[in-house]
Amino acid sequence: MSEVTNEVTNKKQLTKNDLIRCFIIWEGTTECCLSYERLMSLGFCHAMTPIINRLYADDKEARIQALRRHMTFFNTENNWGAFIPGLVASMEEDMANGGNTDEDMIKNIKVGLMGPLAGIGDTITQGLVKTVALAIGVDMTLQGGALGPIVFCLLYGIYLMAMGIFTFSKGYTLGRSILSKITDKKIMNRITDILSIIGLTIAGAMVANNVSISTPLQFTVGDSTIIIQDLLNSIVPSLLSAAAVTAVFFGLRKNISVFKIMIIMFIVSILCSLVGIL
Amino acid sequence: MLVQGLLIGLLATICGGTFIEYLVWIIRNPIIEGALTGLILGDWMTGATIGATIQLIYMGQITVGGVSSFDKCYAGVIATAVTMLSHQTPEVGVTIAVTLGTIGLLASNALMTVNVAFVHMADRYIETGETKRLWIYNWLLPQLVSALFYGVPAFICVYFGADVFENLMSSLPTQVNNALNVVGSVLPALGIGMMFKAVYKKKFIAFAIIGFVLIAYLRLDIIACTLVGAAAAILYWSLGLDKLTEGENSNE
Repeated sequence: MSEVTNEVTNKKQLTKNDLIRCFIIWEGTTECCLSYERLMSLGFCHAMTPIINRLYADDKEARIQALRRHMTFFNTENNWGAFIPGLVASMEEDMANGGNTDEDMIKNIKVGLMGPLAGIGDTITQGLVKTVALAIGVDMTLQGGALGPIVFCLLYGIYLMAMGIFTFSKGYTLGRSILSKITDKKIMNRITDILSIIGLTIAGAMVANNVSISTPLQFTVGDSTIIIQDLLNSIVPSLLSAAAVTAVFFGLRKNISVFKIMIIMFIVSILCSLVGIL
Repeated sequence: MLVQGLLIGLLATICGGTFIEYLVWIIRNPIIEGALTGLILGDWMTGATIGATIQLIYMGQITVGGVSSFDKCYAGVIATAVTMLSHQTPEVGVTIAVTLGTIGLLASNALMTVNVAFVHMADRYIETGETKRLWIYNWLLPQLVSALFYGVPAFICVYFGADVFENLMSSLPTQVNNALNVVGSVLPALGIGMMFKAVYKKKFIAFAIIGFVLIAYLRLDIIACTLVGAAAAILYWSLGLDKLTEGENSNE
């Protein structure tokens, strides 16, 4: 097989158009056919078709071989993970031109990268950037701003597209050499540190801003009425909200499932409401 | 109601499955789903407010490998539609969203199960060495399934359910309605708690207090708080404080 490809003298090169089409299919359909069996496998294979069709245009067997190797189990976070189709495109190109890359290397690099990139991507994209963008959008909307949802779309949409284009093109042009940089723990820690500072500031703000738990309790002592909520407010405003969030946080840290915590909150708030505490 | 029902069904199909990956990343969030549902039902702002209130409980939610503990389409599109059509408060909407979001997991499970069949059909197709029709397996067929599990239920809720929900909600005793409102006001604590877990680092916990004080006492808004947080982050970087704390970067 490799002897045959070595005899081909004219170099097979991916055009810019192939890469753009690969990226568009990637951004458009990676999770459309998400399945329990192989998750994003079909999406990845589909995104690779412009690359495969260019490189193995006149070799049906090689084409089938290439399609097969991209139908294997695959799952990542698809914005940071756009690095992988970019890198794999450059590896396929190298292999089609008789370079050192072989099928096993391509398979291994996919398996080796999808986990770490999903980990980084999920933490930064969903855990931090999305949270901050949502905080701003939700707050604007709840203050009566009709543009709140649009502000969120813009903030998050620009981030997603910029990140996708950046990682995909770096994956293709710089290949494996940049990997050590992206996965460098020191750099990652700095980025998460900074997002953690901003994220915690906003999270603290949202406790007071967006959780509004208050008690209607009041006692009459002689002529004067003591309104418990006023009393609480004079100690610390939003005290009940802060207490509830703290309780949830410790529950989550103890790895109690979100579902269980939700059920507990349901029961506690219904009981409190019936007794008249909340 | 027919046209609105169809449009809500279409919206649910788009948000429930993955119509266009990039687009769905942005719109499959209750705040956007709520606003779009509101737009279809003729009131953007009410929909956006309900959506934003529902969004609070999903704040720090991270979906890993497509597996979530709530279905965001049921909790966003269908819950907002039901809340609007039965003229309920956003707080009651939260309770509706949590209930529907859990039921909706059946739909996402079904979708990911049926998709297995399409992957196998694609397996057979690629043996021909062709790629022209791959999009049918990867895109078209999953959309049809999404229409079945998301679009049709959403349509039924809007087209047949409007009166049913309205009657159901107005027939509830006030105590139950109060309880639903209390649940709706307590549940956002879950979202903010998840958000804390997502961004938590012990050494930075002081910033949570700063953020709290900025709102609870100084009554600033979220953008002001973001700027304060950003300023602190810039200082942290430019003063090289990150180098001082190297090696202490555990999340404990």
